[in-house]
Amino acid sequence: MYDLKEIGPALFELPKSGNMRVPGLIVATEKLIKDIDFAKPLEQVRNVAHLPGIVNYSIAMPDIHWGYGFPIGGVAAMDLENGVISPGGVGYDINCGVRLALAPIALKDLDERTQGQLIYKIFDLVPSGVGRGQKNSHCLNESDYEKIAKNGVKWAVEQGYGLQEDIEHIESNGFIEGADMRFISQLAKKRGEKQLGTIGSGNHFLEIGEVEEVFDKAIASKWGVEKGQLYLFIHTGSRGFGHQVCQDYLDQYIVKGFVENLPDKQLVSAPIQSKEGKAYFSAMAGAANFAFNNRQMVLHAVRKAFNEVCNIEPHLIKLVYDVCHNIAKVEEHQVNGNLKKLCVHRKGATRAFGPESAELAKDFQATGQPVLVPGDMLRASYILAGLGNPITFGSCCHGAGRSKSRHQSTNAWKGTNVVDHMQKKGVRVLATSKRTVTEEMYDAYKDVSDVVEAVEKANLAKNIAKLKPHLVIKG
Amino acid sequence: MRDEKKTNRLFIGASVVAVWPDKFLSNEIIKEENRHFTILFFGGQDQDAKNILMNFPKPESILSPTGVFSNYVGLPKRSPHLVAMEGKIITGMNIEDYRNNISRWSEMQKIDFKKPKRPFYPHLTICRKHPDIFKWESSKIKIPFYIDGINLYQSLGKSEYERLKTYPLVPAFEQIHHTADIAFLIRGESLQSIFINAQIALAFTYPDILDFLKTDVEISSQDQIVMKLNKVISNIDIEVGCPFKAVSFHGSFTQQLGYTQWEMIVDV
Repeated sequence: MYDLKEIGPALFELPKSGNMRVPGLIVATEKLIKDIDFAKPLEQVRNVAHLPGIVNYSIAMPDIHWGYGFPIGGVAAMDLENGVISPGGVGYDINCGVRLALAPIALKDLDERTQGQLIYKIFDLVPSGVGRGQKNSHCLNESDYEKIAKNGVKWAVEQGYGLQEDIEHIESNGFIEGADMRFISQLAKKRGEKQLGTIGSGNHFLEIGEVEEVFDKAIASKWGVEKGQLYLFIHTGSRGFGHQVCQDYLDQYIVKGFVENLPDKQLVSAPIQSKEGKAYFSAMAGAANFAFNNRQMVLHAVRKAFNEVCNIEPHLIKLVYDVCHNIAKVEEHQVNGNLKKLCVHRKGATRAFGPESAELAKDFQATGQPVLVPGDMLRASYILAGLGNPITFGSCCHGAGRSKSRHQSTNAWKGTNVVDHMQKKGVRVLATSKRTVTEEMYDAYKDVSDVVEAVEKANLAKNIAKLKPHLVIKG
Repeated sequence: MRDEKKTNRLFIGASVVAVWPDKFLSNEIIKEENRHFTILFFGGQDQDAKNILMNFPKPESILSPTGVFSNYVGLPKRSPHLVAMEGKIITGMNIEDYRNNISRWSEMQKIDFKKPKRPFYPHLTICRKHPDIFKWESSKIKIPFYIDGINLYQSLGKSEYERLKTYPLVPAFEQIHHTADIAFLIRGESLQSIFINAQIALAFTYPDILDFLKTDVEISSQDQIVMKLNKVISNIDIEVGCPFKAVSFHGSFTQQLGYTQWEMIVDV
């Protein structure tokens, strides 16, 4: 099926054809391949393999689905000297990512009423949904943007949003080097000026639940994860700011004719070392730093809610980790026995560096980095530990991946009060738009357990704990 | 001389698909399937005329016009007793020309009817009787619509109509399946009408877009459609927020008989 050749456990090669520069590599189990329509995403894996400077493979994670140019769940590493950088390889929502924090209580210690108060308080403090920005806070000005670019998440921490110790628990310490706001349009800044500390709409969410099962007690204990414990997930990115950055560079590259010889316009890209390539990287890094600050401010508001409702001191809500899953980063990897600098595009894919990686903070040196894999709002989410597998340039899946379109999901749940339905299933959902809840119902996603099974089999990450959602805020 | 039993109240009208409000100011609302724009009213006609009118001229364009309802109006204006939604047709065929064409044809067929004196006025009766017309007129609306067919109607009384003959039109847009985001097939006779119909399609999901609708834009390429749509989205996002984040450069333009079709994929 699909002309795939099995080359290892849960690893399939998509042979080179036409003008592909490298073959494709698909991380999936046979079950996933059988269950899901892979045809279109695989076409995109092939298309990505046409990009100049791509190294080894055009890679697809098991949560792959159709994206813009690159599939979502796609990884491509480009040679830093002669490769290209592609805004479509990062995605519209630059540094969309997930953050996991733990409270020092078990979920069952909060009675129903308190759980209700807590989720409503968070809903009140963290704007979510279309057009809900920070109405009462000041608009970001040029100076704020400059500091965000230069300092990354430190900007928010210095403003009093969060703790110094949070920083080491964020991928790349919450800072992508090379950001320069001069390469970002005023339109982008205008879109972003009231969006820090907000969730947004679409598939973004804030989720509270309990650790249902621990698979690796040693690593879980090092990360402070215990069975029954209350966790919270924050999934958001760079909001309209990042979208505008992506759009601006796509427009610019297309107008300049950089799309020539590519099978898909949305793959438009520029040589990394060109003026245009460097400009995009600087702008993307700026948007990535904006996103780190966004998630930091959301966590701050959540800590405030826990303090007000549950009397838990903010510093007791521990940030476990924050990962990016839409990003291009300069990293060193072994290629044919040589250490090479590469620009690794991860679009709907998470970095999964293993133990002893120099990139990781000391808390993760012995364990590998936490890899956060949210599923859907009913079944499960997972915490994994990265194994730094070189075949995927130390990358892993980022979630369950959609299996149904929004349109299909809306039609399937027509006439059902989805919020009541979820409540009966034991999940309380708050949202500004019922339509979003309908579009995001659990059965619109693959079963995340199947996806996690694939990355474990392929030796990309190790399963640490399974999480069960109970309270969910959607946009 | 024809049959004197002119009991068939006939007219040509356009059936309308819109994002109708969940609630109106009255419960006595004309049923969705009966809502229409009257194009040409023939009044009472005998069976022979009815048979002739079954073959009324087809519209020249097969593509559905699109537009926007922006207010309620009491009609007739001097002593209003019914409520209509006033619409503006933005893309598609010129209905005035089409009406003239049907009118000329009907005269040639010796159909006895009063030729309209006023220009075509796109309005749709929504409520036959309401005590407080002013209340309707003071409530603002923004409702996108498209015309899905041209019909010969027969009035059955009590705001019920039978469609005796229909020329269906190809919808100016339709939502299609897309795993990651949302997607539409957008159709138009020019790049500009594709640009406008794309906005109307998005407005079917998010009517606030209509406050920012751009219609007077010069478009010279397919890429420009995407770029200008994204500009609209950016502006909405800044002003009121927008559930659509960007329109992608994906999606091919294909030439169909009488129109161009574009697969528009929208990031949400």
